[in-house]
Amino acid sequence: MTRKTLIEQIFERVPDVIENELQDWGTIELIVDQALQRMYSYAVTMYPGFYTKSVALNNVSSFSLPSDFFDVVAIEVPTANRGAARLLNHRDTETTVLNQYIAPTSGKPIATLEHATLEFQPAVTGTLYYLWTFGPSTDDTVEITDPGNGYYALLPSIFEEELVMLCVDLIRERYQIQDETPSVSEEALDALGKMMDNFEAEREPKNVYEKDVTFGG
Amino acid sequence: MTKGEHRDAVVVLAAQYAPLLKIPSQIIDQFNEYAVRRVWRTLLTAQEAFERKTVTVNHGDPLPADWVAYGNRAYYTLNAQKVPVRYIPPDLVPTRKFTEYNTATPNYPDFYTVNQKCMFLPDTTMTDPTTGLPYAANLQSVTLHYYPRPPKLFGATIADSTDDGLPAFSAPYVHAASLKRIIEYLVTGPKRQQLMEKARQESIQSIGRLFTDLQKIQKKEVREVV
Repeated sequence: MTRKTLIEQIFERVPDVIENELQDWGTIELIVDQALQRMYSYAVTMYPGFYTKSVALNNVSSFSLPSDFFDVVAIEVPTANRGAARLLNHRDTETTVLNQYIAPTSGKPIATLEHATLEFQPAVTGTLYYLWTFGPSTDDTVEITDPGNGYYALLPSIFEEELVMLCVDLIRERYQIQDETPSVSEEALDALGKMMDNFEAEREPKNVYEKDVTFGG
Repeated sequence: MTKGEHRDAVVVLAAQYAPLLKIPSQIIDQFNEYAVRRVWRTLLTAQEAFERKTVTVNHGDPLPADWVAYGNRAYYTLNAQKVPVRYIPPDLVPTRKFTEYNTATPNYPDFYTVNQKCMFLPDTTMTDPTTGLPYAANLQSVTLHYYPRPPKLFGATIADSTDDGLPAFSAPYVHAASLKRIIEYLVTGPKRQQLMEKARQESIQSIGRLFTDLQKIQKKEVREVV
């Protein structure tokens, strides 16, 4: 689903906006970005492997972070003793550099994350694996949920409905769109809710593989 | 069950539970898609084998466009035997590449995803311990299991005959989940905000449970390897 399709799907669900508010395109764009960010915070926690990128490091001591940088996953340095650089915070960096027994060497390089750079001591050659993120966009061709074909998907595809519904909600809130009030009994809602709850409860994963096994007596 | 059959069934269900509600078929289709995915997630965590797909990939191939998550099974053929390829999180890549005693080999290969691509170890950046030379080629023709997204049902261009790919017994639950959320959607005012927020949290929690369960299996496999 591209950003264009996303916005089309949102409009299909809030036709009032198309009729009355279409001039205010900028607000729709902002709402889409806001919804994407909220979903990203869920998705990156659940599925970090989906958000890992790699970039080559070629004998660098100060590496300018890419614009989509979010966090370090690992720093691969083939020449290091254990194949990776140590990622330290600022206090540990000071302690390490000043201590001759654990000081950084080419076999035990260290890395420190600064505001816009990743600092290495000594300079390293290898690969940086990092979590990426994305900012606001107005590019309608950006791919939202389907990876592949040279595209990065911004979200795993199972977040698609939640994303669209969140956008719809935010837009309704923004434009104060009211639906006609239906006559709905609370009992109907409860009955349907119970039906779903039972269905999910019956299918709770059974812990069959991790059962305690006892031997003998 | 197909998209059209789902729509008809929800119309009948709505006549029983909320007879005064006028529901456009577009809204029904949209919430049926939501409900199919919700039921799909429930079934997947309960019995993950019911919906899995295989694809043959080489090192560096992009993830399939309908990718949701790794299906905990991958293998390639080496000397006429199926060698299992194990999943590792990307932060273990340096250690599996270069750490003595713990490197991946053609008999104990690894799978990880970086740049939304399928990556395998050992690769050509590594040295073959038996020859002392870099590996000549990356892993090829790996059969990879994954969980695909359910078929799309919402949208004018999607035919009514499109099947949801779910087992038949799940259909009533799709309709219940769909109608429940349609009703929440059509209620007005602050009550609606509460209901929608609750529904969204429930749904995100169920997505979270799915990934947590998958991660548990994957971590178990990594522990076995290391």
